[in-house]
Order: sequence, then structure tokens, then C-alpha cells
Amino acid sequence: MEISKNVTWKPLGEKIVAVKVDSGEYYTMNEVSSLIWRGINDGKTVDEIAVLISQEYDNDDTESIKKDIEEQISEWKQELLIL
Amino acid sequence: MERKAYMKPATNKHAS
Repeated sequence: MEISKNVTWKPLGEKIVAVKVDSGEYYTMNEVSSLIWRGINDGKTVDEIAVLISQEYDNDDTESIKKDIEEQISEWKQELLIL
Repeated sequence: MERKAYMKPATNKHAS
């Protein structure tokens, strides 16, 4: 799983803005999505990202966090932001 | 370190 080469992105504070180079469409992510995005960029697994999120946010239910991560990743794959 | 309030991941798409 990796970020598409057709996507350029930039952190803006805690959030991230990603732009599809070919179409010019752009995507703004909330803080948790941005953390997932950084995790993917760093080559982390879903489990590792879930632990990171539970450390930073007041949610200890890592199973539900993993479900949220998978849903977000699925959406990004549909949008061809990640491969 | 105090943890922040959890929010579901969300990505908004914008036209070119």
C-alpha cells in the first residue's frame, strides 16, 4: 500500500491537503485521517496506525479504530489516492 | 500527555 505518484500532498498544521496532479481535484483530511495518511507514507501497518491513534486520541477500542482506518483506506483506494 | 477527543477519519473532496 502506497500513496499514488499522481498525488502531491502537504501538511497544513495537523491536517493534510492532497492534490491529484492530473485532474486538479484536491482533498482535505481531518486530523485522524491525516495521521492515517502519514502512517501509510511511513510504511506502517493498519495495526501500527491504530496503536498510534489510540495513544493520541481518547479511544482505547483498537478494533473499532482499525475498522475506521480500513473504511478510510477503502475510500482513498476508490479515489485512486493510494494503490 | 492528555489525549485529544477522537473523531472518525474524514476526507473531503473538492473540484479542481
